[in-house]
Parts: sequence; structure tokens; C-alpha cells
Amino acid sequence: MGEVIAVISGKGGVGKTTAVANLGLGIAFEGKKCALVDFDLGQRNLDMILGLENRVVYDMVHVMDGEASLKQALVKSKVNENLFFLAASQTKDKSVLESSKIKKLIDDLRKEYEFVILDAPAGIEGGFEHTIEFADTAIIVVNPEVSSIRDADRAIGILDSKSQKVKDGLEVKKYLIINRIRPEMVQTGEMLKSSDIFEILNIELLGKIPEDKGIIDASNRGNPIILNNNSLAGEAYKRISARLCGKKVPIVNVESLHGDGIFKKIAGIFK
Amino acid sequence: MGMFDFLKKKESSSVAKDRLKVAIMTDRESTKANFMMEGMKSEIVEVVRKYMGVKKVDIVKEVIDGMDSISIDIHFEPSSH
Ligand SMILES: Nc1ncnc2c1ncn2[C@@H]1O[C@H](COP(=O)(O)OP(=O)(O)OP(=O)(O)O)[C@@H](O)[C@H]1O
Ligand SMILES: [Mg+2]
Repeated sequence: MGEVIAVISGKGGVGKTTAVANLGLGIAFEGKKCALVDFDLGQRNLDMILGLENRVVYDMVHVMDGEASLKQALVKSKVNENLFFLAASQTKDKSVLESSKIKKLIDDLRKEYEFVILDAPAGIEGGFEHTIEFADTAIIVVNPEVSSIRDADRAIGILDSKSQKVKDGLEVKKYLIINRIRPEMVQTGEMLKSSDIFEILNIELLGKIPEDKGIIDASNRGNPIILNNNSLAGEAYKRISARLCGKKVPIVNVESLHGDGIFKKIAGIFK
Repeated sequence: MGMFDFLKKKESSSVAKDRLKVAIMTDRESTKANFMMEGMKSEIVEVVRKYMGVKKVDIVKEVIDGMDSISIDIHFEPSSH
């Protein structure tokens, strides 16, 4: 039975979708079968980030309503055959989502895939609650900013009271990803340190991702940054993927890395 | 302006940390209280519904003469007889 991971944040725009796309690929490259599901209903964009928008025929609601089989609706990645993607519905009303249908969908995916990763919408309302309901694990993405951290704590509070696992007296695993770290600002004391953030939120740190200009370019092309071997953020996503697959990879102190990174400098030598 | 003026200004990251600690503590308290109220409400509705129709339950927390108190208003469905 695969592990179901909800990627959540509370505050919007902190990097959930980017993380889902990159971790999905990272896990697939680790040789594990992985399905990504876009739970951001009505605002589908994981397909764009993955570069699969043209291949989507059926979406999640078609599957839940029995209009398409899971097999028909899952879109295979262009770069790795272990990775599949299920799109969010674009048009249908959000209220069509029923817990029993979501449970069935997730249980079916769990049988086939070692990892099922759900991309939560912004906020902590309806769609968010559906995303966390049947998750075994939650990855909380934050930016090193007060509003993001505060909202993350509220999202964790809801997770701890509304998820099915908690209702069953079990525990939902929780991991923290700190995204968009700017080393130079942390060094001058203008940005919160990672240690402060996980001390405040009190959950296990899964990884740290630096701010990376290359992410826009990656989104433009529909090629997640993890495919770029000269990117610090890409390397960070690789390490996190390996950790999720059970490998012991030490946390790299991205705060002490500089600017555009050593890769650029090394590349420069060979020019 | 002395050359050590910069020492007086606290780094904004530690200001952020202090503010967050307080804000999050308050948030957690109120979330806990909300969930407690919600839970209590649904259990009360369940119990009362066994005996009569319930339209609505309001639970209000108040401080009366310096004492914490909770008032529970249960609105019944109009009875059929
Ligand atoms: N490490 C990073 N460095 C630079 N830019 C980033 C980084 N991570 C994310 N971004 C950018 O931040 C923006 C928001 O990212 P993304 O869409 O992944 O967030 P989200 O949490 O899914 O948003 P929403 O809550 O709206 O679904 C995007 O423009 C993305 O390119
Ligand atoms: Mg998103």
C-alpha cells in the first residue's frame, strides 16, 4: 500500500505546486511509482508546471463520477515512466466533492502507486480539508516570512483535528519544507533562520530550498527545475525526494551557500 | 550618530521570531477553543435530538462578574401537538 502525502501550506503562493512537481519527478527517478493529484479545483496548474497540459483529457471529477477510469485519466510523464498525473477539474462546482468519493479515488491510487502526492489549494477551507482528509503524511511548505509561518501553524492545527488518521486515533506524519530561502538575507539577519522556523512550528525538517531564479524558466518550459543539473533548488528537491524514499541524506545548510551558487562558478571555469 | 548605532537596532529576524511566538500561541488557544465548542455543540444536539427536534444550538462564552461562563441556547423545532 502506497503512502499518501498531502502538500499543504495555509498561505497561498509559497511553492506547493512547484514542490509537488519536483518531488514527483525526484521520487520517480528514485525508481518508485508515483502519482500526483491536483486538488486545486478550478485553478488547475500542476499540469502546466509538469508540461502536461496538452495531454489532459479526463480529470479527477470524471473519475469520481465514473465517466472515466483511473487508467484513462492518469497522464504519463514525458520524462519518466514511473510518474503519473491526475488533473483537477476546471469547470465543475467544488461542492461535487464528497468524502466517500475522494476516499475511493485515493484508495485506488494507493493500490497502484508507492507514493500518491496531493497538491492542496491555498487556504484552509473546503478544498484543503478534502486534501488532508485521507493523507498518511503532510508536507508543510513555508516561506521564511511571518504570515506564511503563522498560517502554516493554523493549517497544522486543522490537520491535527480533521484528518481521518487522527480521528482513528493514529498519527499523521508531518514534515516541514522551508522554501525560497535567501542566504544573503539570513546572513545579515533580515530573514528568519531555519532553526527559528522549525522551533516555532515544532515539526521535523524535511528540507530547505533556496530562492532560485531558474524556477520561472522551468515553469515557462514545463520542465521542473529538478531536471536542471545546475540548480541549487533542483539539488534540494533531489535530496528531499531521496529522504522521502527512505534514504539518509543529511540536511544541507543552504543558508551558507552563495548567490547563484557554486555551479555557475564551476561552469564559468570551463567556458 | 555613533559608529555603534547599528548595535541598538535589533535584527528584524529576531523581531519576527518574537512576534510569531506570541501570535501563534494566541492562535492555538483560539483554535482549541473553537474545536471544543464545535465538539460540544454536536454532542449536545445529538443528546437533545433523541428526545425532541432541535433547530439550532448556540453556545456563547461570556465573562459575567469576572467569572467565565458558558450559556447554551437550544432552539426547538415547533412541536406538532
Ligand atoms: N524556490 C523558489 N525560488 C524562486 N521562486 C519560487 C520558488 N518556489 C516557488 N517559486 C515561485 O513562487 C510562485 C508560487 O509557486 P507555486 O505555484 O508552486 O505556489 P503554490 O503554493 O502552489 O501556490 P497556490 O497556493 O496558489 O497553489 C511561482 O511563481 C513559483 O515559480
Ligand atoms: Mg498551487
